[in-house]
Amino acid sequence: LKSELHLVNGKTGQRRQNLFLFLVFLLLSAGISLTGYFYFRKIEENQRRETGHTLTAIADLKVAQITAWRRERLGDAQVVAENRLLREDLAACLQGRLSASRQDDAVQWMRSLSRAYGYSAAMLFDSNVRPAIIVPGQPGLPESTDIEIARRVMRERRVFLSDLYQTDRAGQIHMDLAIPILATAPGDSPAIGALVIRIDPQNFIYPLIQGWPEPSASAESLLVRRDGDTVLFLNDLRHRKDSALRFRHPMNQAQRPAVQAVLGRTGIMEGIDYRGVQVMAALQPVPGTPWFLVCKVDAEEVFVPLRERSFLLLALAVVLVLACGAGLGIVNSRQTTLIYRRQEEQMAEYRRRLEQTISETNALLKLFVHAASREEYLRQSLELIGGWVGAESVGFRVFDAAGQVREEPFRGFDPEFWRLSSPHRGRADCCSCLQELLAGYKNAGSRWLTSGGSLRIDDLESETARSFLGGVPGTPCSCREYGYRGLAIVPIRTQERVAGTLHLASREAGEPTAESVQLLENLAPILAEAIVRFEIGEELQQHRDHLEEMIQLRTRELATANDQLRREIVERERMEKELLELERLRILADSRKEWQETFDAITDLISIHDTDFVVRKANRAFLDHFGLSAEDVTRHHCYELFHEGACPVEGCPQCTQPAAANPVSREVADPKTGRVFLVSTYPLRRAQGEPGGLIHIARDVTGQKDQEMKMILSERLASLGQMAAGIAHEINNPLATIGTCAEGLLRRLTEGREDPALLRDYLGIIEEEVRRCQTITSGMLSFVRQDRGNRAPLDVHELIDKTLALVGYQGRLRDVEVVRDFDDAPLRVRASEGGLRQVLLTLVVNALDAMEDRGTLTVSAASTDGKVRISVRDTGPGVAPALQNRIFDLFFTTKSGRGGTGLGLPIAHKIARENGGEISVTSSPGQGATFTLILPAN
Amino acid sequence: MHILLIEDDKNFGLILKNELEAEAHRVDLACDGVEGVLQFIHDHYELVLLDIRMPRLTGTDALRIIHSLDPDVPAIAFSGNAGEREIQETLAAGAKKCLQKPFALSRLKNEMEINIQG
Repeated sequence: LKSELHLVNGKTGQRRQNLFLFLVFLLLSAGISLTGYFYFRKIEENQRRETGHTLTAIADLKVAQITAWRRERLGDAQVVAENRLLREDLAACLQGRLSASRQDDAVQWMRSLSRAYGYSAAMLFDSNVRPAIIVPGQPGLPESTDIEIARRVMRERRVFLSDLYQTDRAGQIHMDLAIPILATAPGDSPAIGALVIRIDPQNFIYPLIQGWPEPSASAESLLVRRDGDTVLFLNDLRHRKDSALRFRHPMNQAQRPAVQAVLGRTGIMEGIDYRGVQVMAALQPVPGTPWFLVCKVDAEEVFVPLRERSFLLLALAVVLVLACGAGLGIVNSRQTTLIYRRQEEQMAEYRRRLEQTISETNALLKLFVHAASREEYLRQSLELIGGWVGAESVGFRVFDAAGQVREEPFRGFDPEFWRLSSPHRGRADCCSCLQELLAGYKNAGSRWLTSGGSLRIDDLESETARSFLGGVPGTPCSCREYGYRGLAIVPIRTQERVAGTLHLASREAGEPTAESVQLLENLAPILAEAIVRFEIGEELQQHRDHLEEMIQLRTRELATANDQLRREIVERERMEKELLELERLRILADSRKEWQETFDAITDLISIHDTDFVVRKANRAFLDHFGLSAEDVTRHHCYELFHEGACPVEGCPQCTQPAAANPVSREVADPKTGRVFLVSTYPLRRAQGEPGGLIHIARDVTGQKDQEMKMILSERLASLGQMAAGIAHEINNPLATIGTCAEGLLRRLTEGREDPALLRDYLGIIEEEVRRCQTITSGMLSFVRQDRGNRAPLDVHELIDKTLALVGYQGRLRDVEVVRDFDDAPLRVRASEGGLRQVLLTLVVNALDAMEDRGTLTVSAASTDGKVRISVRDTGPGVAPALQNRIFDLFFTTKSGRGGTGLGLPIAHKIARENGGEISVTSSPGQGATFTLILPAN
Repeated sequence: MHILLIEDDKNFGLILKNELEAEAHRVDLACDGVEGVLQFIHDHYELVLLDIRMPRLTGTDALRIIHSLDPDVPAIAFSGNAGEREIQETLAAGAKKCLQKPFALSRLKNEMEINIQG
């Protein structure tokens, strides 16, 4: 049993298993990854090696080719140098000992030499390094470099092949084959000349270097040599134009293959080339020269095929790892199932063993729980421990209503014991001392403690047990009292506390055995877990209950608050209504006061009369004017106040106006005071539409009338002023005639040549001229004469003629065709003569002004429907529509600067209205204007 | 002296013509500018007397036309009611002198003597 105890806790087993499987997974994954990695490295290494071999092979090949070519050149040169016949001929040639035809032969020979080998030039120098023969005869040859080489070969007296160099002038790249011409056979004989042959490397050595035996995107060969602290590139580069003998690297850039080659390194290396690109290169020196060959290819090109393979490998590894994970997952789930199955079997075994122990040893098992709802908890625990309560016993009560233990589920237990430990009796009284000892972990005596932390006393009747128990405070051990000999108490520990205890008591000493105790100790964690869960549930329930309670409480409070609020709202509404009413009354009072103040502020006399002319209400101006109080005024008729009469005066609007008609305004002259009032009446109507008297507003316009009169007069004087000059000049004509007549008569009289007939004629003329003057002056006077606006019957035709005459005196009609279009019958109107004359004059003068005293002036007068229409039409430019409304405005003039005052038409308009008439204008631009004065016929 | 008198005022024209003829001048009277110009075309004159303000053709305009026909003929203008501008224009048109009506006959004679001799 012991060995199996480990598996009791399913969770621990599960955890261990998970860890194990995870480790296996990690190991497998790591294995797969490592294998993949190493495999990849291996492939990569192979590729690298293979490329290295290729590069080395190519480099070897090229170096061999270059060497062979050089050897050939030098061999050929050596043959020339050692050819005795040739040497003697050339020596003769250089010393000028050769006939002309032989000389030509020498030239011919050099030419064929150049042509046959494809050399670019051949130059023969004498011992003083002067050029003897040069083929082909290019201008500019020899250059200083050629001379230098000739000098050197004569000094060294041996054949050599120069390095690559740039010519001075063209900048082209060449190398020279230098051959000494010795005086005698080779040995110590001095050189008597030199043959220098120019070789163009583009034809020979560069193609050798630049060719690549297989297709490649980046591969190339470099020929380099050291030049001081730099590496000089001797050939044109694949990725850089015009680099031959121009491009160089500093020597300190060790990662460059070219630098490494110059430093003497051979074989394969990886580095960075002149473009800064990662390359693989093979380095080789070229024997017999200071040159080094670098064959290189971009690392990228080398490893491109590898990349595809690496993707494949990665994918394979991922698939393998996933497969591993899946396999392990399956194993895991199998194992878990197995663990749970074994756990279940374990529990069954426990129950069996427990029951067996209890029944065999006649032991008692009891459980104490430090929890709130013990009954429910006990039921669950018993189900857990013993499996006695099955699904069919849900709701089964361990204790009956009377608190008695129900026998049924506790076969094999002592009912007495259970009863005693029943929670219905309050606190359990069994072994409380030990229980507390254990719960508090006070020193319970090490000899009684098991390795599992439980208390086990094998014989309660033994001396040691008795003395121990006697020393423990609290309730005496009840087990002993009931005749139990052996006792074990197993704590049920949760994380925070000892939540309960399991008690196993036996009637036999030595029982319960250590094994039984261990069995219970194994059960204790399960119970602890159950307790914790149960308590959490309990706590939740408590919280829920508390919450429920709080909600109910809150609901009640809310209801109360709602009632309160409703009452307050009703109260507030009532108060607001009262306030509103108060406010309304205040506004009413204010507006009444405001109205009264407004009423009183008006200086016109305002009164409200009833239909019987009795004053009902009057404003302050009215009261002040008549010296009455507001109360007194209501005892008066309006006519008593205004006219001091006993009845309404004639012309009062209130008399003439029907009570329900429209408002009326009229000027009324008060005969007593001599004041002029503008009286306006407005009918008042009651709600039912009946007449309710009227509002009477009287404005004293006496001052205003005087003002207007003055204005009219001033306009008249202004017109006169304008006229005066014209008229004065007009009088000069008759005066001139009269003067001349007088002078002529006087002269004749003086000379004694009186002629009675002439005298009569002259005097007749003088009289006529005087009358002419008189007409003019009387016309002027009649115009200026002021009248008080008294109306009288007037002859319209006569008035028009007089007006035209007055204008004529100014000489303004001389270029004007005047058309008189009058009705035959005489027309009469009732109007003030001065006023009407002024109106007509204004219209005629305006017409003449508009025409600039040229054109046709048509004055027509006709009578229709009891009205007399007098029209004045001109042929001027007309009045623009926009101005037609404004020309009757005061001070509006289009003649400012030409004597216009802006008074003429407005005053004419006013005079016409005062005489019951009106003036209107019709005009279209360019068609002249027609002003029409309409007056009621007399 | 043969004089053309252009004057629209009938009485003054007659009296002046009469008085000048009394001084042994030959005087033709035209009653406005148009008639005056027509008369001047018709006959030869040694002096033109003319009013400035006249209907149909003003004295200024008539004088301009007359001087375009005969720039050398002297002219004396007079007016009862001409403005300063009209007077200036008339002088510019070639009048020797502008007299303001009413003027003394002796003054006219004086001016005539000065201007015809000059």
